[in-house]
Amino acid sequence: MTYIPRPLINSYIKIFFKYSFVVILLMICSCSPTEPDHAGFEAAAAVANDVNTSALLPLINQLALVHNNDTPVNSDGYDTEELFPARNLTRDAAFKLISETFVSMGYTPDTIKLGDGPQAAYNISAEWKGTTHPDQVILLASHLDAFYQGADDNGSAVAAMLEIARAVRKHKFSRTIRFVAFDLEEFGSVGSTRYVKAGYADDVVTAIVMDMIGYASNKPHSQDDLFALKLPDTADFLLAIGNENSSAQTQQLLALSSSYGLAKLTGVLAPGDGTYLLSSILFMRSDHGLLWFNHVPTIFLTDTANLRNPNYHKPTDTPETLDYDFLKKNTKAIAAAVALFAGVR
Amino acid sequence: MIKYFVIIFFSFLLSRPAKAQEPVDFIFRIHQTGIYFVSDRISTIGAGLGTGLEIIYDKNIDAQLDANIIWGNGNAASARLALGYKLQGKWSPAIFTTFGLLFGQRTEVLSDNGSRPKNTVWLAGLRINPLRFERGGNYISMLELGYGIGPDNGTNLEIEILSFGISL
Repeated sequence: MTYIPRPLINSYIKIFFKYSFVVILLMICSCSPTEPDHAGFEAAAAVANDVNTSALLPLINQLALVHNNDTPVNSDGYDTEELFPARNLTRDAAFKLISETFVSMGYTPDTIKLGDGPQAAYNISAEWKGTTHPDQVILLASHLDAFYQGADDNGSAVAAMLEIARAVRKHKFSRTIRFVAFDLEEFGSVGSTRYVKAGYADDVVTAIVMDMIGYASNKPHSQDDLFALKLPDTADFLLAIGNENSSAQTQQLLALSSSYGLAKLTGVLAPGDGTYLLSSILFMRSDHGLLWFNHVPTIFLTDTANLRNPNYHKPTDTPETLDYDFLKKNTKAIAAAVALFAGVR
Repeated sequence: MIKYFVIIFFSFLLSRPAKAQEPVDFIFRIHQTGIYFVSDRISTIGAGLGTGLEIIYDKNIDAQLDANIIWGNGNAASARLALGYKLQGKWSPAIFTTFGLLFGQRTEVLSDNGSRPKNTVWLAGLRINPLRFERGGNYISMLELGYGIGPDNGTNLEIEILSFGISL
């Protein structure tokens, strides 16, 4: 062993304890949590009052009915599994119903066909133009395809989107609000991926993607955890998932909802852009995936699907299994958030 | 990989010991690390590498200060201070109390009003080094296991599959 003179030993010990002191100091002075910006909350919350929650149930019933009677999509190339009944995916009749509903509200919806063949994706897009910054778009999206009746997945989100589309027409906004029903989410976010790749999301400044927002339970232990993420034990909250790009928006959504008692939300932020190995497995299960990849600030809203809903991707995903009070509150909170991000005037 | 490790391990055990140890020994430490910290507010999980300085006083009292980089769920880092006791001899298991800081990217759970958790998380716990083998002040250690707590009902699990200490 090398001989070390005593004064040098003493200096090493001093350095060691100095660094230890710095570590402890860092521990004590660790940075304070960041608080969300509350500007514009009051006007945004007022928009939530224009949501007609009694319209949600009839919309979901209609969607469930048309899915149930529709011809399934060509599922060549997809193997059927227990939670992936590929041969029972429908979309065409829902597409028609959503388009007609937009028209009945006064919108002129666009059909965006992406891809060719039997698995071409048909997205529907409708816009409420902004007044001062119409080139900046707030995207509110849900997917229109469904297994079986698909009341929660995704009739709940489509109904919320349509009702919010109706409610915002009573107001003026600085930015454009775009409502998009994506096709073929269940086949791997096909419609949304092609939409983003084709450049349709280049003008989107903030997006909210909804996938299953209508199932809740007040029973203890009704909520399963995600791996390595503690969620509340009772499945009575809507999960809002953001990433670093959408952290400010996710924080504002939670603050807005809690300040005005709109809905019960749990907010989670994935690290970085959310595409790291572990977080991508946990969180990138829907149409927000490619938006995150493309650094579009996007919040994903879900009731956590099969982590609470026993009817996930089953014939039992029917309208009577939903919690309409939960869905109504969620719809109001989302309407307020859209109004906030769009700059209600 | 395992073949090379076995060769290194037995070469280490059969090597000539260095001079007798001084009352205070300084050791440069390098190790692989794995961490699983989950609380009500954050989750940090990953594997990585760490390095640090170790001081052994009077052959048994062991103090370590090290820094670690962790990947898996974003890029995170930790700094640890460990104080413990080790046995003397070729097989020299050790036990430590540890104090640490964890920072960097992680999964965060927001509060009801939307605020984010603190940027830095403290950790406190115990670590055992059951398979620590020493030779002339150098050492090789396998399967170091740590258990600890952190804020917001946090639980911290650490595993270091392989660590080396080189006497300075």
